[in-house]
Amino acid sequence: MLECPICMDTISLYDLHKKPSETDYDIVGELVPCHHKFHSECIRQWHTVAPDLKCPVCRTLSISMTVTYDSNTGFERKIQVHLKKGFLVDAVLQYEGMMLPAQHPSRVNDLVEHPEEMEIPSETGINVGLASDFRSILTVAANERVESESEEDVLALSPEPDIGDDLMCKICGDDEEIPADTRCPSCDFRYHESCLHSTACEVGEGDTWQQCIECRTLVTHINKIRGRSTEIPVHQPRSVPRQPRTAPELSSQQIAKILDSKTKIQKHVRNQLRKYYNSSDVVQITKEEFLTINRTVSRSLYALSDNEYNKNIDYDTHAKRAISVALHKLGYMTT
Amino acid sequence: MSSKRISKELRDIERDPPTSCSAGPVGDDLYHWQASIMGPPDSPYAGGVFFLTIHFPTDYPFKPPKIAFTTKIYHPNINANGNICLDILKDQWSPALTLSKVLLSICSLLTDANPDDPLVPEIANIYKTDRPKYEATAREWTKKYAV
Repeated sequence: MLECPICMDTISLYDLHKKPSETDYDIVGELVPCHHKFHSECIRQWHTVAPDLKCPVCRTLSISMTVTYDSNTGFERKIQVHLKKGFLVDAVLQYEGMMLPAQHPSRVNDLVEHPEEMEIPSETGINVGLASDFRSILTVAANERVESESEEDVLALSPEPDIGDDLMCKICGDDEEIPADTRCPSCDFRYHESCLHSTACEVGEGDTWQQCIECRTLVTHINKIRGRSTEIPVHQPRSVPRQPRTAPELSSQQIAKILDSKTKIQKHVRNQLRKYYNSSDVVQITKEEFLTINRTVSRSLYALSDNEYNKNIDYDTHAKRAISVALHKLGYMTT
Repeated sequence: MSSKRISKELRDIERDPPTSCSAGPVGDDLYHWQASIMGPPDSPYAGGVFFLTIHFPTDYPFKPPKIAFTTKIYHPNINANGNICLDILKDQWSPALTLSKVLLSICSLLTDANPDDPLVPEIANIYKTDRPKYEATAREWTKKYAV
């Protein structure tokens, strides 16, 4: 049994054999290089008052921290947290959650979220209005991505050398995977929307989360800023289409195959999720929650089989488990 | 977190008390403890029992406990008010330390004073220049106040 050296309470580690209903795993922070383990919350609280980043147990200077957590997919995940940047582990985890599955080629995910290229199956069982909402959310997501990428381009071309730092989210300090998508018009700090939200919730100000944490001015979405051409130079569209940065060009056959796989996987998720939306069951989720859970759970299931539909995988069980965890996190009690 | 952790330390200290020390809350207040340390046999404090008062801050273990001797003691790192000059009670505090470990450190401070970082420079000076005189005075104070 592992004990946290700070609070002296037990650290409950991820256990594959427990059912999701029994899950109450702790988010564990393991310092690098000394490998001493703590509740991530405890060690981060110490870091807020500590004079340095030395391990409380052995006084070895820590370089980073490996955070192990049970993502809302029902599977254990490990991420590396930069101790000077990623201060709020919760915010980092949420941000990480948005990136699932981060290790897969971004091109593939882009395609799936691109409504023109993805046919939403008509036999979804969701009413038409919802399906079109789903579509519009996907459109927004796809547009945002395009917009923010263009923004990056503009800034990359900008003559000011230090502007890269300004792109970092003021809370998690990162902009590498997802560009910070909101900005304070007054102090020009940038934030990930998700970081702002989780920070506000942490300090009990969940209702007013769309405010700059420094000056309390309402933050603006980068898209909206881009609309005002006076602030940021207008981006000239390129004549040559942009090449995907990480993934090789996929043939239309490969794309079709991936889309087919993802559609099949999503169907399992929706089948499992639908009963919480359309029925008079104990748990009644909103349309938005349905969409969010569907998106995150589906993504985690793609990662299970490397974006391919695998007949040997029991997607229903995996989806059920992940959905139950996700519902639990939203405060719903499932049986 | 603090009260839970202090309760845990109390349980541990009762179950497995550190050698030559004892500690426990004063009355019902979990944040106010009293401790006693036996003078180490190989020191001029041998034979004495020294009492200390301990106050845990509400943000314990992120801040160190406040510890002071209530028994008068002649030592270069302990002043007339009983305040102790010990790095782990100040800038070298770590949340992984426990009261039990701190008391053991105080025991070893009694055996090996640190005259280069004194709280009472006069005693430190005598400790460095006239060790027999320091030991005689320390023994005398022990007999007078701690036996």
